[in-house]
Amino acid sequence: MVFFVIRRLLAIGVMLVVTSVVTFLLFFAAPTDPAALTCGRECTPDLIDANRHAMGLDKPIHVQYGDFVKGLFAGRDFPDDPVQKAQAPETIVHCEAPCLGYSFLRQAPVTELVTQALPVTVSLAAGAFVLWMLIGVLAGCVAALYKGRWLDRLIVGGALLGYSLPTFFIGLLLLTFVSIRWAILPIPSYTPFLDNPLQWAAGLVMPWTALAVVFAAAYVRLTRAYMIESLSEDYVRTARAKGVREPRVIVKHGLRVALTPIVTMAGLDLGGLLGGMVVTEQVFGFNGLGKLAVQSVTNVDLPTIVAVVLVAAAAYTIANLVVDILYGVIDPRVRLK
Amino acid sequence: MTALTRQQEQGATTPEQAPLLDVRDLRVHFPTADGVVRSVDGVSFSVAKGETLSIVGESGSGKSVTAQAILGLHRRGRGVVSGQIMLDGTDLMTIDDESMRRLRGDHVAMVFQDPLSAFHPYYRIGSQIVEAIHSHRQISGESARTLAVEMLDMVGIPNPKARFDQYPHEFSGGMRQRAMIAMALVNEPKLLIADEPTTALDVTVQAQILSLMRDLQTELGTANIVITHDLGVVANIADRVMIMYAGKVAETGSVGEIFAAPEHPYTWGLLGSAPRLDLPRLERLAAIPGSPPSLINVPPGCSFHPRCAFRDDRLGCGSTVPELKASTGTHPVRCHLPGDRRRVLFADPADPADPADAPGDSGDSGGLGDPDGDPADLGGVGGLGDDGPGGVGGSSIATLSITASAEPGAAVDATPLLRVTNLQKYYPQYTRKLLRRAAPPVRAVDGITFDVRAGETLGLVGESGCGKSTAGRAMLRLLEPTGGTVEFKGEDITRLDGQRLRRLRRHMQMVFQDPFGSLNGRQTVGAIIATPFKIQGISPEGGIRHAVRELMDRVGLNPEHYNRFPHEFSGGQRQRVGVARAIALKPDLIVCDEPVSALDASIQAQVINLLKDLQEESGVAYVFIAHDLSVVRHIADRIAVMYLGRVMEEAPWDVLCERPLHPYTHALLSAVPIPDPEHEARRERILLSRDLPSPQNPPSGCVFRTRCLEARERCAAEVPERRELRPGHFVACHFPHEATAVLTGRP
Amino acid sequence: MTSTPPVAAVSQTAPEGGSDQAKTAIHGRSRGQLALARLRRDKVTLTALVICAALLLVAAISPVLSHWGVIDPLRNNPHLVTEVGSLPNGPGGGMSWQHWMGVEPGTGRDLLSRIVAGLTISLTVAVLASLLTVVMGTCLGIIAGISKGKTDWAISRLMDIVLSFPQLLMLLSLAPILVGVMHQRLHLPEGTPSQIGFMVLVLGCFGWPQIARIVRGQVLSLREQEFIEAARSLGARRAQLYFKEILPHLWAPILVYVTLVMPQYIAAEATLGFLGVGIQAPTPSLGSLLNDSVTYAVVDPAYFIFPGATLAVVVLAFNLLGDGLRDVLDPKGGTRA
Repeated sequence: MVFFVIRRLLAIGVMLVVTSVVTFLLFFAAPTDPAALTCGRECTPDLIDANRHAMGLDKPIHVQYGDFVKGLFAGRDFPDDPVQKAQAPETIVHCEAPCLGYSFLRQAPVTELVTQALPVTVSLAAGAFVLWMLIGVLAGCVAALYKGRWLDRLIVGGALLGYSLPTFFIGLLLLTFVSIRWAILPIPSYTPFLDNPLQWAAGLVMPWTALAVVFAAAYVRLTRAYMIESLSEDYVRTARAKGVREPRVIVKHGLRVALTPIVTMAGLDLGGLLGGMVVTEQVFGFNGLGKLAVQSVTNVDLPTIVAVVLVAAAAYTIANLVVDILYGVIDPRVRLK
Repeated sequence: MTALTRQQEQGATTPEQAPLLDVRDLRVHFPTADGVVRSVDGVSFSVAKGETLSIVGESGSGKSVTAQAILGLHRRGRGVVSGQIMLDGTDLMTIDDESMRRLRGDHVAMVFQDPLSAFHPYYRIGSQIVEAIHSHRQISGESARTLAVEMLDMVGIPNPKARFDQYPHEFSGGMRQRAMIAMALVNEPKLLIADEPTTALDVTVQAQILSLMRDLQTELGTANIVITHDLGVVANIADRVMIMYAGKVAETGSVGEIFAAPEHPYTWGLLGSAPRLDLPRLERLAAIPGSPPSLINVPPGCSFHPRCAFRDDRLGCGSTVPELKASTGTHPVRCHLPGDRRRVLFADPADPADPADAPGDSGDSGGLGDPDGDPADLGGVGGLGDDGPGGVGGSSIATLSITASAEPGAAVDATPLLRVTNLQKYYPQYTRKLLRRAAPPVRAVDGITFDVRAGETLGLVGESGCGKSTAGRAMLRLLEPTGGTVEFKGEDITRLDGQRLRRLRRHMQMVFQDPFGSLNGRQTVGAIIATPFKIQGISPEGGIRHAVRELMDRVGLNPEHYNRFPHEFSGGQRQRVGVARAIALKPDLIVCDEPVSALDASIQAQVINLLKDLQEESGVAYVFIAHDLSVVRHIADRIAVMYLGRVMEEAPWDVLCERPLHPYTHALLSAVPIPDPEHEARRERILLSRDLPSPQNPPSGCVFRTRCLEARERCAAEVPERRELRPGHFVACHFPHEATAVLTGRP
Repeated sequence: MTSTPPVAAVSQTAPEGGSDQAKTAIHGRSRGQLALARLRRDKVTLTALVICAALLLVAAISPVLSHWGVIDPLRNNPHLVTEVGSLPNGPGGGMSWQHWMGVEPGTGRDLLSRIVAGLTISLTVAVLASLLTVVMGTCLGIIAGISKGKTDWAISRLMDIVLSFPQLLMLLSLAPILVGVMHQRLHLPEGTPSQIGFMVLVLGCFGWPQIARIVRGQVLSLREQEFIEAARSLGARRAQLYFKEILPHLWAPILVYVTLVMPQYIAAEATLGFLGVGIQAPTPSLGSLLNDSVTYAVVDPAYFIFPGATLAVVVLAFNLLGDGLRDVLDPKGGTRA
């Protein structure tokens, strides 16, 4: 098990390097001039050149990548130019480790932007995750237990409907009707959890619901399928044959096995969400990573886009690792191999 | 022992005569989109305290569904159950779910066929047993643990305290089944239902489990229902037998009656279609034609009549359902034939379908396993004893030596068709540590040597994991051998390039085990049988289609069905398709890899007969790979016994089965159950201890030494050479010896 | 999903020759025919099939309808909107006999016409992207499946890397860079074709690993089947093995996957439109319509709900079809596509 974790950790490290290289190539080696995109509408050729130099884009791509990695671990200066440093230290912007880059449009280190956005995204993702897992797994189990009867059909039909509605559509419907027209729930807003937990939750209920509807739908289907499979296994029959009480048969013998693939999926989905919920944050106006990405795209703020993509890819990759390890924890057959 | 005291109490409080379990007119029907599946259709039987009833039938006969109905396992399913099930005075059909649950595992317990899938993979063996205890008794975790460990000890699991904390996948198959039995018996049930308890196990392990079950029954006094398709197991363990066919009881009686004087034609068929180790070899097996009916459209009248050789429509076989009744007071049979005529038909030695044409009498009758048997009756119908000319025992040795010396003599001038020399197949392994390093390889086949002459059949037997299938594939170079040579007609095929090898393949073919997986479900059987012609670019006389139809006819398929798809055929028919494909190009050699092990007994006989017929017609040579020694003995000219990747012994079939020299062969032979209760009772088994070692880390010297009763120091130090101890009789053992008693049970 | 039968694998498997005998011979029911029989019994899937076919048909002929003047997605009707605020006259967003779904606020363009015309663009994106996804996924999946060792390893790792990039975020982030590339390098006309090309490319390039995994898994399990060994034992070449024995088994999972990935792509196009980076107005697509209608969600809900509901119906119909096809083609099969 220990060797397994170490090997996975190494693999994840390699994956992260490769992912960052790919991102770099995608954005910086694209046949467009990133520097030309640094200053929006007030661009002059001089400003573009200055920014190109400041961002280090005048260096070869592999040097740029090296600088980026150096920035991550040791911090870096923009522009990283010894001459300028000596002559006009006040024009140098220092970016502390872990430095994901510097947004010239926003005049701020990207790391700072990301760390500001992260709590919002995490709050959104965590609440929605809890909600959809509860609803999805519970409803999926019920559907599996009532397989073929009207309750099952109702749940499966509802799930398919929810699964077919795009997030932004659900979000906007909720926002328009529940919040604005009928004023049942307050207009969503973000309050840091530590400031006021109640307000934090109240402001997040609606985006949680919107996200949870789509995901819960998927998990109902998943749970139902795995529960049906698991409940038809021989070991469930054995448990019944030895007189185990039915609730225990369902939960300990059926659900436990069905949960293995569900946990895997859920981990990956959560990892994906932590990279930013572009649509949800946009719909409800939450300044999370997703909204940061949308804004950066609209303003063509390249360093921020790259950083957000990297963070998202890293979140997914790390979720992958966690899931792999969890798999070993859940299933002794994996652990002991 | 608490178990004993409890049994005594029960014996004291309830009258002995009342049956423990009484099932009346049980029906289990499953409604489906295509119609109602009548899995169990009016079954009645009873089980007395402490006795063993065996329910016998082919797949789909309803035997497992019956067992599950007793436990109320259909309550949450789609099955509709009706009838009456009385357990010790309680009507199981009327009690509520909670009361049923209380009975399950406490009063009635069940052991399932596949102990790997029947145990929950996520929980430790011990905790699963403790769960069974805690579902019925409020005792402390500590005492439950003690009880579970005690039980594990009782079923013969070594080091039970440590095993308690292991997971099912850390157990070997046999140990897992022992643990399963421990779990079933831990609450000391009155009735134990074992559904094919040994079918998934190797024959030597099966022998261990059967003997364990008998011992436990003596000790605990539990009543058993053993469900099986194997009449050998029945003869070994049962007091009474119930034969089921298509959801109905065909006949039921004491084990003595069923084996000595079976009255239903289906039972005759079952007895006749399984080759037997103890009887002279028959030319052909008495196969039952056709296959079991669909349970949706059960034939009218007697459901067996379409397959019955003795049906007589004047008696109403095809129109009215016969009643289950005893004709002369011995045992109830569901057949229209008059009782006296049945007995005559069964005893008539001229009838080819009659398994009783074995000569001789029952010898020392009145054996231990036959409490109800009537010795006179046994003698009268030609009991299934084995003292005849072809039988075994001291007198037959002379005969055997003649055969043994005659065989190789006849074939001396013939160059072998296939010469396998020191063939090896290793699978490289890697460590699962931080860095993947090469670990010792798995030696699936580790240096086997034998010849196959043109037109003969070499049987390759061994238990699962012995490398026999790998060997079969490596000798055709379907797997690339790691070492050694395979000469086919004098040419070393291990060095052939791809082109020449492909051309050579027309002369050597294969028949596979899995009748589902070996046919491409996307192609019609016509296209499947035509594949060899197309791949080899051969146009037969009269065109491919004509050839295909001819082939289908030859293997006993309706040529009109060439446009059908494999999923429309039964298992036996599919296997015929596989055979037709293999013989299409008139090969010189066919490797048959467990060709009948996935089939029901009556279908097995059909396929074996077909293979024998084809060999007679065309002179093809077979390498017949199987785990079932009785089947191999029936079809092979010579037999090679494999163990852990090596050949232990190779000899002509009769010599190997009657005068084996290798201790492993002795154990194997002694473990094969024989469908004759008297014989079973007489036999003394060589029960192998321990589990099969890992082929990745085989024992030094002789690989069998860790389980061998004769093992001495030399066995660990030195690998035994393959020696020809008699003409044509090769043994790889330092201390070969004869042990005739293993088969006959006589000193 | 070990053996999913294809719908159309009947004709080539029938023995050659067509004599009278062949006609009188008992014809077996292939798995395809069995699947058809099951399909006929499954009313929900049949309905979904009809709806999907109708939608595709409408999308295909909408340029013709537009040419004939049956629909007119681009004509402004200023007289149908109020002068102040430009909201449609009348209830339900200006619903009338001429304008069944009302009109657009601002321009007064007929909403039904715009939805029908929008379907064409949306479905074009979805169909082309699905095709690209399936072609890439199938090819790479088969190559990975049949080649043991290094190639398989490389493709599998490539799948891991691609999967670690969130598709939507990549669509979003790459939009400013790649739409231009479409025009400049691939010489697609500026505007809508470039936007379509961009979406197809990104959806395809980040979507193929899913199907590649399925196909690879199928090939790996098929390879181990005895009928492959049987063909080898008859002397079949590799090409014969793969094309004659393995490929026919792959049609069913691919078909199911296509019907399941289509709705995802339709939704993705709409989402991108919502985020403002997809098809740009005035060209109608479900995405651009929704993007425009979001601002009116509160004041003119009908304008938001009609395109949204259309989207939901389209996505639901394709999901139902995909689900149903999977059950029909593989009744025992897993629900894990």
